[in-house]
Amino acid sequence: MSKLLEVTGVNKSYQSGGSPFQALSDVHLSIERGEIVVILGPSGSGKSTLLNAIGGVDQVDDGEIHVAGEDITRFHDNNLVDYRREKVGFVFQMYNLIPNLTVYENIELTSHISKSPLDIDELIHAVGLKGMADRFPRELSGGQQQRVSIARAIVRKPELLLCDEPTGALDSSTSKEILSLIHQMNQKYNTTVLIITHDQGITEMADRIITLKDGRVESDVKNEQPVLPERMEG
Amino acid sequence: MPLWKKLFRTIAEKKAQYFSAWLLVVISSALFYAFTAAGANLVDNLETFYQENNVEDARFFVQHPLKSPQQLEDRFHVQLEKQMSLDVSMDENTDLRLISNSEKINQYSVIEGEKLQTKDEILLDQGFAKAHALAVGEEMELKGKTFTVAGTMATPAYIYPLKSTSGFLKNPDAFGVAIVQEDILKKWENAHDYYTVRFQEDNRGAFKEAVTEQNQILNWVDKEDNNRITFIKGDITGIKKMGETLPIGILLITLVIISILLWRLMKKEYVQIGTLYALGYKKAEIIRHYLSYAAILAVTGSLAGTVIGWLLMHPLMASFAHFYNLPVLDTNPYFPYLIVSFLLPMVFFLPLTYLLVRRVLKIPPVTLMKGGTLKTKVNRIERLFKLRKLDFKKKFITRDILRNLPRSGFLAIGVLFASLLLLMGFITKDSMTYLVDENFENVYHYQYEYTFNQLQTGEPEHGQAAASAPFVVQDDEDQSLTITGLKPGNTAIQLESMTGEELDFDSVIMNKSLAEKLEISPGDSLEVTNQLSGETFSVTVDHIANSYLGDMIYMPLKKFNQLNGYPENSYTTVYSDQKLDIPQEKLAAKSEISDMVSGFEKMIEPLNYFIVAIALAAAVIAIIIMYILISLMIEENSYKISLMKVLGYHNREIHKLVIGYNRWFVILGFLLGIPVTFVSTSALLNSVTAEMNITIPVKIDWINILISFFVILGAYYVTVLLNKRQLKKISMQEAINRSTE
Ligand SMILES: Nc1ncnc2c1ncn2[C@@H]1O[C@H](COP(=O)(O)OP(=O)(O)OP(=O)(O)O)[C@@H](O)[C@H]1O
Ligand SMILES: [Mg+2]
Repeated sequence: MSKLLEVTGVNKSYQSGGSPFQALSDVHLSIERGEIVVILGPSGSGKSTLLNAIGGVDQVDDGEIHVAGEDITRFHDNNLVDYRREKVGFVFQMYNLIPNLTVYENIELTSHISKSPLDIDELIHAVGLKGMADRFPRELSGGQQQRVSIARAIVRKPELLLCDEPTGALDSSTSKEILSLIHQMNQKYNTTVLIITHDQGITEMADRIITLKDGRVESDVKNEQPVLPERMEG
Repeated sequence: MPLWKKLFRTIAEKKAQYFSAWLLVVISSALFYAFTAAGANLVDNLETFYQENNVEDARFFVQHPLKSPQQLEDRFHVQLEKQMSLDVSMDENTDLRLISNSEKINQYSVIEGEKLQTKDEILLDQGFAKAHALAVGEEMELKGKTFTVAGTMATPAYIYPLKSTSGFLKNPDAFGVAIVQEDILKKWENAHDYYTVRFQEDNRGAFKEAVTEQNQILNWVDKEDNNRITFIKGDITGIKKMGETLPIGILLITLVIISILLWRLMKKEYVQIGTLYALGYKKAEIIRHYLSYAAILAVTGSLAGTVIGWLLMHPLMASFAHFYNLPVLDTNPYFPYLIVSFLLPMVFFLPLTYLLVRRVLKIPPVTLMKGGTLKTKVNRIERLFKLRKLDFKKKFITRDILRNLPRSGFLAIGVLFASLLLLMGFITKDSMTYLVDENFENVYHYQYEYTFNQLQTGEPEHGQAAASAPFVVQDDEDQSLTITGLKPGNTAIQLESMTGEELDFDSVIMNKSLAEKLEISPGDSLEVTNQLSGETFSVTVDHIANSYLGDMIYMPLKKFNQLNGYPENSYTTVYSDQKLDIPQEKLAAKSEISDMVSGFEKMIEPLNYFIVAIALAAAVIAIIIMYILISLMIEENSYKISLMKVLGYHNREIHKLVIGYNRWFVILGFLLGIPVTFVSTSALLNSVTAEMNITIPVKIDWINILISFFVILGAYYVTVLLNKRQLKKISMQEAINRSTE
């Protein structure tokens, strides 16, 4: 296994109402290619801030974030755009689909700008949305929408799949289906996955569990025996 | 009260959008007030000038001097005055018409300098003095006599200093009017006598008859047919029409824009509105709050606009007074227009915004607190599009257009309006150019025209004989026309039929502008009355000629003499290619085509500035409208834009997909603008020329269409440049932190 992501000495503070607030302080972590990593932590601990910095949608104050050997904190705007386009896939809590595009078209939104995308019809099939290609997001359940959003992220074969509370708005059985889908994608395309969650249960499927507290890495534990999502409890 | 703070904060947040809307209000108020008040002031000043300086009702000249003018005055209760005039050539190309200092009719007003005191003094018309750099106090020599320029003046008889009463091109380089004491003209033998008359009763016909009893009227021109006096009225009408229509158009567009702004604002503030309800605010208070947005724009915009309009009115009137020869003008604030200018935007905005706010407040507070039924519905048309096979870009854009159709459609309307403004300027110029080219180059094939003050018989030594006289239509005394008799082989005037064939002068030909006014087609007859002799007869029109200058009928000279009871072989006019040596005292008038052509070029010179000004204004209005609409589109699509950024789209790619297609709506708006401009310009020109005896055909050069197109397209790209920052500023956090769409 090779290192895909290496975060070293990252600090980030927000200027909120006069006094600066330290959202990330001296964060170090390193993630192998193909790993599934779960990031835990109480609300406000800096999880999203970290994920956004890794995804190239937010800047940090100092420190380095190496992805596949390149330090993305040194990238200018255009390089960052290309980085997001080629290496990153996002999955959000509220799916963030475009309402007036069909399922097929929402996926096409990313395949359109990628060099060698997966076949959309096959992917729709793979995420379990067969026959729903021409539906609009409003005509889908939450779980189905999240499947579209995963397909949208996966279609361009990103090296990093960043999921910010992907099951936060779903009931537990649907959550399992979604996590299982993420797991499948990880297996099938060897995508490295970072999942933020409040849900302790999800940690069972992870190769590694990182816990944040007050912007610091509190613990970084390897899970020697990950469980398949469908077998997880809770 | 905290709501006020919120109001100003919202405006400050969206200052570009509110400022643009405000600017449109300012422009429309300024235009409204400047143009209508200037128009009204000009009408007033003109009336005062006519009144105080006793403008003539008609002018005429007769074969022999009137024997007893005093008797005629008493009998018909008219004022009658004999005046003298003499055209003195200053050089090869310049004639100065000296007219006698009148006592009763057409009195002059001094613009600069002093009244005439001595025989050695001369007063010049303003335009001529300026064109020839003659200042007050300077000396000038005319026919060997030295005059001192006492000042500049304006006379109601020459408000528009035309050489001939039926001309339409002034040229201060080549022609001017000056006033000297009558004694000077009396001494110079070949000065020409004419009479001016003011009526108090409706007894023109009887008066003319009385004159004709013992004498013969060689020429009679009513004030209404005298372009020197009436042309200005058409222009004032034009100015007022502009002032009444243009701002309304801008206000309508602004109204829609403000409604969109408010609608969006309220949608975003559903929760707040619901909360205000819950806090115990009354419906009326909330309505008042949202109406305040429109009211603030309307009140401050119209206030600023009216002030600017007041400032603008003065140069507008000054340039008018300068173009026409008018004395210094009084300016009145014209309170009715002032009040309308101030209130119009309110009257426009408040009712509609009120309805809009009421509609939102019909939603139950509980729904509002939940953010309303915010969910975006996919409409039926969007559903119809199964676009799987289409290229993604096309698909994406089609869906966006379907969703944003009202915005894009409105963008096209805004562009249509700006194009209308722009094209109107060009059409006005091209139509004038067409009119002149048509007549000077295609119709008049002579250089000099000499009109004798007595009937001539036999053959002229040089040139081609013709005769013409003023007529009125029997059933419609207000419609005057000129009938010209020409010999069948005449080549000085050439006319074409509407289908382009050359017409021979062995038939009766009516020109297009008269045919349009009288609705006459070939084969129709009309009864006409000679204004000089009172003779009435019927003519049958054989052909219509494609010519728009003046209201004309042409017929064989023989027939003309016969119908009018003039001796066979007689004539009054000679057309010639060369300058002829005819003694001044035999002539009533002479004119030169090249004067008219250079006059035309002089005349359309200001039109060029006008067109540049209009083009700039159109471009500014286009930019404001496009800016605000595209800015709104970016705002409405900000979630999508933000998401696309997260997904790795470059700004330019997003721009292409989300905004770029508006280019086609801009083009659509422009293309629709072309026919709309044609229709509205011909309506405008018709109202302008209603009081002039010309008809202006509506023409445009395709090059000018192309130029206008590039101005509009250029304005669009300026807008795109202005909006680029806004698109760039949309943060990715918006998509990331969005909890619901
Ligand atoms: N744009 C911002 N401006 C100021 N402070 C911010 C901003 N974004 C985040 N913060 C602060 O930074 C801290 C970390 O935020 P972050 O969103 O990373 O937390 P989180 O761990 O994702 O929390 P949650 O589980 O609630 O999503 C929080 O205290 C938050 O208030
Ligand atoms: Mg978070």
